[in-house]
Amino acid sequence: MLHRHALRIALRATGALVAALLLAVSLLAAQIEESAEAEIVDLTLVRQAGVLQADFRLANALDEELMARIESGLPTTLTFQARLERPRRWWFDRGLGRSELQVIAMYNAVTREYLVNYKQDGSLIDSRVVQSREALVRAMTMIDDMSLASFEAPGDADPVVRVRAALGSKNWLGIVPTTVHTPWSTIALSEARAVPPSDPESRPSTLL
Amino acid sequence: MKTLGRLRKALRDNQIVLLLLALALTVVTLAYYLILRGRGIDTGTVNNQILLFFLRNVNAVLITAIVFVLIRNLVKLWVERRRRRLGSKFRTKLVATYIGLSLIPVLLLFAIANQLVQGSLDTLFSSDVDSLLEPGYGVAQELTTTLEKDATDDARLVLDGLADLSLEDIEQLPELGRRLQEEMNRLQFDLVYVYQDTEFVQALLNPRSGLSSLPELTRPLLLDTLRDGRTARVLEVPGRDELLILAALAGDPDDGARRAIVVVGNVLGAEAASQSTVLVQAYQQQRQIEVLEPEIRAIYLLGFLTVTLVLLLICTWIGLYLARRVTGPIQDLAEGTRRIMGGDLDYRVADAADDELGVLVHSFNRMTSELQRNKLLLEARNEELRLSNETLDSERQWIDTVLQNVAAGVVSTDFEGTVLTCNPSAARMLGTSPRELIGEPLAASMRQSALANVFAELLSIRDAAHRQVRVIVGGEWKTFDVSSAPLAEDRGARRTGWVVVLEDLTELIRAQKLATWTEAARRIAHEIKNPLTPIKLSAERLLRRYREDDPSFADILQRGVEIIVREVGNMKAMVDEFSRFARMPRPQPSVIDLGALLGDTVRLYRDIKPGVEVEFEVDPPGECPAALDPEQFRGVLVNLLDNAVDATEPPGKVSVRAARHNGSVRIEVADNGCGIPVESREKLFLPYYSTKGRGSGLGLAIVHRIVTDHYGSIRVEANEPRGSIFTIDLPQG
Repeated sequence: MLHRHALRIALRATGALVAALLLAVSLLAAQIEESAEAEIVDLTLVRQAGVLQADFRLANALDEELMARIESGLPTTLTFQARLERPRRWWFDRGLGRSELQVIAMYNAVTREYLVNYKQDGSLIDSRVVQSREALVRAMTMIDDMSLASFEAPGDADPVVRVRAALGSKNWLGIVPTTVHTPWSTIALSEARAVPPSDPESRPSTLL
Repeated sequence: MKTLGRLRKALRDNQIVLLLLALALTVVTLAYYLILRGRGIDTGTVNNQILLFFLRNVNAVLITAIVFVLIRNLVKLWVERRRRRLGSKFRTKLVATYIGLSLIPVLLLFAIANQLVQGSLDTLFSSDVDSLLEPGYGVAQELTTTLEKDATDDARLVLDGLADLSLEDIEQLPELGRRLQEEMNRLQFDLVYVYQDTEFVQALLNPRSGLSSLPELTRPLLLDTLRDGRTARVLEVPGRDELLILAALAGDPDDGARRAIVVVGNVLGAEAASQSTVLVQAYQQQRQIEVLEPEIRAIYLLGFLTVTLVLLLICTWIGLYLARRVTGPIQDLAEGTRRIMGGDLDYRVADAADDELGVLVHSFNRMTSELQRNKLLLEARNEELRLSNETLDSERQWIDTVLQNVAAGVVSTDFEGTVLTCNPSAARMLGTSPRELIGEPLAASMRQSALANVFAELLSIRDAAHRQVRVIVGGEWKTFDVSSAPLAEDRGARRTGWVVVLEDLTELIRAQKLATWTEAARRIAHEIKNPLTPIKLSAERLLRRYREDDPSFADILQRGVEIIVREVGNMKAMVDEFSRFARMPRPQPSVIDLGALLGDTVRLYRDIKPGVEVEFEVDPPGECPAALDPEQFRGVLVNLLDNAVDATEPPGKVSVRAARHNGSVRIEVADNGCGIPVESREKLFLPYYSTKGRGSGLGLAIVHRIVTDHYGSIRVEANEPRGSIFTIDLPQG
């Protein structure tokens, strides 16, 4: 009788454990990287008026599928993640700072315009309207002067800046959502070059 | 009600697991929602993602639950079958049937429903819809393109018309305004802007446009125009349904000079703009649907899959529950049977539902209770039987000991007279050994014909009887009192045999005879001495008188001789009586009606003593046949009636009663006279014993002798409330 009771408890506990593990894995797997053909290229750092900025380009990202989605009027987001890290590969806590830039494109078929919004760390920093695909691709993939002002480097190490783009999501095994990322593109902080302040007029700004 | 209760219990048992799963799913979904929202994804996309995520995980949980439930129960079934537990095969069949019956329709339903929905989606995503929407979209696009072209043409004409004006010369602005107005009137556009590079110069609004003010142009529009030479825009008029079609045209660049930009705009009316917008938005929505087609299909598929899995889980669960519900009591019954076979009658099967199985379980428990009660009863009976057997053993040993040592011979036979047991005394009396006698017919195995006859006669009588017999055993005469009594079973309803008791009366009779003769000799001596004394005295007196020469000698001689003759006569009478008693002949029995004999005799005493009533009764009335010597028995009756009437003082009653009793005839002569002392009763039948002080004292001795010669017995007892009663028992045959 005791054996039977113990077997029942063990079976129930096993079932509950399997289900809980499945759910936990699905949550964790939401952050699992998947390689894509897209990549971050031409990553450079500039320091303008003491403020660290990153310039880079996202290559091979906007394929026909993504363009079709944009032109259907659905909001489409590309997320650029920038991190300041210690150059220690196996260190458990390498992060020194992080920032995230979201580029959200939305097509207005009536006016035949693409509205591109830029949100950095949750705040809207810029908004552009472009009329052509080429301009849209430029607006979404060519990032100039991404501010990394919050990055503070300690004096005892030469940290690196890593950038990657999140292109969308897929489902692992059909049930576990995963984010499609580009590989990390890395540049040493020491490679940042200083430039003089630019003319505010030359920088794209809001249209209205 | 019990079924519902058990279902609730089963659900309650799994409540924690279900709660944990629901909680985990909720937490994970919420976390995923926050992650998506944190990425700034629009609400629609997030909702779709969350819905898909939720459905997928619900399905995963359901599949896990179904697999878990199935594996759990299959493992349990496998273990039960390995242990050869009763009912496991039946349960396996039930489970397979239930799951099969639930799987087939549910999966069939899922396939059909999914096919229908996918068919509907195919229609929604079909090219037919595109073929309907695309022309409309094309018309809308063509409309705006045409309007843009018209505006561009107008802008060209206006720009050409301003070629001779210097826009930087402020004095020429009125002329600029006049020309713009003329062109507006001529070309019928709604508004016009003139810029010098990005610097505003002048603008004009056609009142017919319906616009209240001129919209402000954006800097990128001007920059694009300067870069590309021309550009066009479609703008939504804020707060209105109309569209504004703008076409910008830049003048030819001169070296170092600023370029003129003319922007001409036309307002597309609200109705046309709305229709155009509807067409465009419909087309765009169709594009969105096409883009979201995989997600939409997945949502429908997962939705149906969720319903299917929920149904499947419920069906599987209920199926397994019902299988357990059916086989559980059967297994309990099997377990109960096994326990009861092992002797555990305290085991009870738990009550099942109020169905047939419940009735079966109830009957089983009742049967077990009955078995337990009967077992206890049987044990009590066995204990009683054991004690009874011990008592019987003890009694048998006691009886065996008694029989082995008792002086009387005891022989038991079966109903046919075959000897079953024989004690040593019986064997000694019969001059044989128990081994030779047991198993042989009692009567036939007797060497003495007299014994054989007596045994045969006794065993032929249905009731108890006894006889006396004299036979030669070991060369000397022996007198046995042989008694027989039937052995009966079933409270006397069935005779199974006989027990025969032999009593050797030889020594007793010898002693009785000796005592009798001693008493007789004493009485005879006394009786003889009584007359001898007067004879002696008379003879001595005669001799003395003769010697004295007494003159009255002759008288004395005569009286003396008379006395001597009288006493000698008395002595002779006494001797004659004795001789008659001694010479009593053997009885000559014949079957007579005892009632008639008694009636005739009683009739003689009816009026013999006034005040003494003599009654007579035969029970039952009618003839009472008996084998006896009528003359001798008449003497017996006369003697007894003489004594009774003599002992009874008026008013009194003497009653004579004849009755058949246990295969014998009983005669009772009772009176309510003075009675007989207890101490006299033993000697009453001895010769020469009398309580009356007269007579010879041989009357009752003769009576006893006659009764004994008829194989009967006589006894005297006190009559209640007074008097005596003589009882004679005679064999009837």
